[in-house]
Amino acid sequence: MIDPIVETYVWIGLVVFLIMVVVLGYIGSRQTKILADFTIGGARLGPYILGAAYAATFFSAATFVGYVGWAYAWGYSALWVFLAIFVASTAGALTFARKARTENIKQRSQSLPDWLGDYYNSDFLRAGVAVILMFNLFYVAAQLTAGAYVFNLLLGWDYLTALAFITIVVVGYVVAGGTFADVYTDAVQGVLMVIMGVICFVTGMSYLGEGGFNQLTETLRGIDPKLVAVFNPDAVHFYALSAVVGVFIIEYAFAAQPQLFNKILALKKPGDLWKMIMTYFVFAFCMMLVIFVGFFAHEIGLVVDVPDHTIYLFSGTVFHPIVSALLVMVIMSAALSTTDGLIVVLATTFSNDFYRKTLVKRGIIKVKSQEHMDRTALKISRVATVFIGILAALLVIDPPAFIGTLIWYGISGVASGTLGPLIIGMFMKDKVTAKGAIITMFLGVISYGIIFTMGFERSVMAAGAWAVCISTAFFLIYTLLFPKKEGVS
Amino acid sequence: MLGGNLMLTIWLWSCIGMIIVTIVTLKLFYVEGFTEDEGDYTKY
Repeated sequence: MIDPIVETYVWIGLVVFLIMVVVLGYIGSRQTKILADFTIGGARLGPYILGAAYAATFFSAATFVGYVGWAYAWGYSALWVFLAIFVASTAGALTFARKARTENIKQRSQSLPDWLGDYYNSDFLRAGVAVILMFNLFYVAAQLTAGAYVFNLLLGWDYLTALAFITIVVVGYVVAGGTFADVYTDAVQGVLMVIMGVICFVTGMSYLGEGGFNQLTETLRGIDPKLVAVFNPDAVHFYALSAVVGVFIIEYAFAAQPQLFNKILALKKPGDLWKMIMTYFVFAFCMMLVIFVGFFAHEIGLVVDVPDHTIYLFSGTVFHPIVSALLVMVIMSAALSTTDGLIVVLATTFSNDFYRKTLVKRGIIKVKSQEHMDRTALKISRVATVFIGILAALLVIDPPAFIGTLIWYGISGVASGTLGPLIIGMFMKDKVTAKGAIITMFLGVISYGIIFTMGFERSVMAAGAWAVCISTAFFLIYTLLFPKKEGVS
Repeated sequence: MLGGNLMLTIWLWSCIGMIIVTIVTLKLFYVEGFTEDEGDYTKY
């Protein structure tokens, strides 16, 4: 039974949130006139807004819902995901960002597949990576589930009604404003997520009393000694050092995920990258503090049947209804800020990577003029957005047990096929070949499929990491054995 | 402060280390040497 006072505040919060999204979506729509506006904001956005948007896109409902669930179920070992993101993903961003943005001064690519296709001068690679990006439908689906839970658990809506509503909202403003709407809403949502991460941590700490973390550790140990272990054998992703290493590798690769990569391309001045990365860095730390809620939930005696529900039950137990309402907005923010970015890049694969850069470029489809092609491509982006939203919603008609795990089906799939061509290409520009990159792309995805489906690795995160290692190592060796003399682009 | 727990200690010191590494890396590789992007994204 939902407290009527909480329900009232949640409704007020949601209405305010939806008005904000609609207004920002409208502002974005006014600025979206050509395809490049939809895909990368016309490459004219500033560093602070993009840094906030990068963080908001990076941290999804999986952080606020799924990773809190991991912390509740698996204890301190879940802090490995905090570290993997804070250390490895930041290292990934520092590795890729400068090269990706500066190369794009010449290339003017509009997505990750496009960037790789232009860099290697290969339409096949562009189309192949675009197909691989479809793995991220799982990622979109997981976010939609998390958003639907808000209405389902806190307002008592039927799950399917909630799923339909959240899908319509996010598809609506992406159709209208593309990357501008994505980045504007993400930046505001990112600020909300930072505030909530800090509030959750500070509030949880207040329940520890004078005993502090010592008391928390004893509480967890009293429930189950595995909850305070460095490696918890029950934790799917943190059961041993090898699995944790895998998590670090895949989180390193995550920094180059297409929905983040296009935000680097959207930056107006490449020299402002350090401001963008620093903004992300500070935001990231504050947002991830929410993971501690999973530990604090044990301290206040919460018994949770479904780990993904921990954040909602914690909120209902410790927070004033106004803060609970803010949390609802934040979880919605976390879900939408990632979903919109993902939908933009998936729509871009149809409009830019397939239509403009493959079908039109190769003369398979004739166009009257560049302007006509651009208008058509923009329309394709918008139609594809609707199509992707519906498809993702259909994937989670039956909600998954762990949304934090579902997202990794997508991320691991994308990373396994893209990281090798990206990283080796960036650092061995004069030696790599398109042929080697294409073989690497296939090898990565096939390796991921075999490792995970054949049961060689039970963690989907680690399975992706091993596939990334195999494909990247192969491309390195291949490039050393068969270097190109003239360079790539 | 961290109750003598190894995992919490690893977490704290890793965060401190990464803050230092990030600041140094940005200072060394991200402050200078960039050219402006004059690209016109309306042209293909």
